[in-house]
Amino acid sequence: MTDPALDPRPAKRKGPALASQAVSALLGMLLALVLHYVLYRIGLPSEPFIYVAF
Amino acid sequence: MSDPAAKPTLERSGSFHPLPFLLGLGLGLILCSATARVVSHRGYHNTFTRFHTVISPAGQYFPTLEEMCGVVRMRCRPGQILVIVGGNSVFEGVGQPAAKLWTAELQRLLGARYVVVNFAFGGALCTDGGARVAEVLRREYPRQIYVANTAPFNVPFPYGIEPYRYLLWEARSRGLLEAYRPRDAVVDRFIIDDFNLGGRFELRGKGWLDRALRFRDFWNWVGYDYLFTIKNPLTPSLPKLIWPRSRFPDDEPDFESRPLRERFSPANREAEMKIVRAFSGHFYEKDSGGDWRPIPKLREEFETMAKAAFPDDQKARTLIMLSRNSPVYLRQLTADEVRREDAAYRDGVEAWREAGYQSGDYGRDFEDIDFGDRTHLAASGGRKLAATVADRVRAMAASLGYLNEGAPQ
Repeated sequence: MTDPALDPRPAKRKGPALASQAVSALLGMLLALVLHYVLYRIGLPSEPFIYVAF
Repeated sequence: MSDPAAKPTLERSGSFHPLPFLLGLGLGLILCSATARVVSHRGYHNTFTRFHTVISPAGQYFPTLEEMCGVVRMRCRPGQILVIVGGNSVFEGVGQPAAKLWTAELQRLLGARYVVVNFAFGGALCTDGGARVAEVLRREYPRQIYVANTAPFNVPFPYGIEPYRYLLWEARSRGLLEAYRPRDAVVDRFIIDDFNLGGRFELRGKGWLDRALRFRDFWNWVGYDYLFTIKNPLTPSLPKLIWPRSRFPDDEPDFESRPLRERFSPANREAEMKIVRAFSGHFYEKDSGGDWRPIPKLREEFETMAKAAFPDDQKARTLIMLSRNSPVYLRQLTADEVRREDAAYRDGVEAWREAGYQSGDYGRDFEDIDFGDRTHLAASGGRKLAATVADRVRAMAASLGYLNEGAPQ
């Protein structure tokens, strides 16, 4: 087993790696929300419905 | 060997991970869809009276089918008899404040055994709005009666009318409607005639996407309870533009606060009389003996559409009421026009009955003060309408076996 003190490779930092993965996942969720909203908006009529009673 | 410099900037920086990103994207869509399903099914209109203007297409708010079913679920227990009201602005109760709304009076007259829900919309046909909800809930609430209004021989197109047709597409895309060949044939023909290939693809694609992702259910809920985001003519500027729609009460003005001379303005009289005459004049002609009779081609179109409008089992629990105009205008008809008018209402009721529905008319004995304008009812007229409809609903409930314990299923 290699002594970490003697290993020439830089030690992997798990904390920051997990955090950046979480940020990526959150970005994905945010995009999902935006996409969901865009789908809702494009389904709506662009002109409002004006009802005139007759 | 790959060159690290060739990787996209985000990925190279080590701060972007495609797999968690895609998982987050998928999870986000699933969460939105699941939330929409739960809240819409359960219902979130805590103070529902009707879809008043701010929460109707006039306010760029398009209630979804599941949202409307949620309104019913919040109010009606399975053992109660559900009375869904559809139709146009007359049945919506334009000119009647929430406390004087005719459907509130109908609820009072029918008592706790019944639950009345008003799903009428301005300009809607009797096949729109409430009709879709009644059909979708046919198994969940088998003890139900659908009541809607229309005018004599006004054609009940099975595909409804804009801007409410989206409810039909929603119900179809989710497979919520009963298979009924006459209606399916008419609607399929309508789609072929009215949509080009791209339009049909879009219609199908939107239906499929919304069925999977429920974006309309989700954002309606957000708009109703938290934050509204659609520019609309009723609340055009901040801060009201973004207020959740639940903050707006049903503050329909009261016809009864207006004197009669304002309700029936002489300036509108000529235009209103044209409409009143068209109620029967459009559909009738004189036969060789000088009697009024329905124009055969128009009557045939009505009969075809009335047959196709609702599945047979729903016809039996549907009450169609023909709305009369105000006596202020009817008094100005000639004797011959009155004969035509009477024939139209008599034949109109009969035509609905022949097609398999329950039908009647109202307004013959109403007075000037019972109307707020040519066609909409003031609260006093609403009370008379409620009394007429309550009698018919009770009779239908009895004949359909709803009053027997444990029946029908």
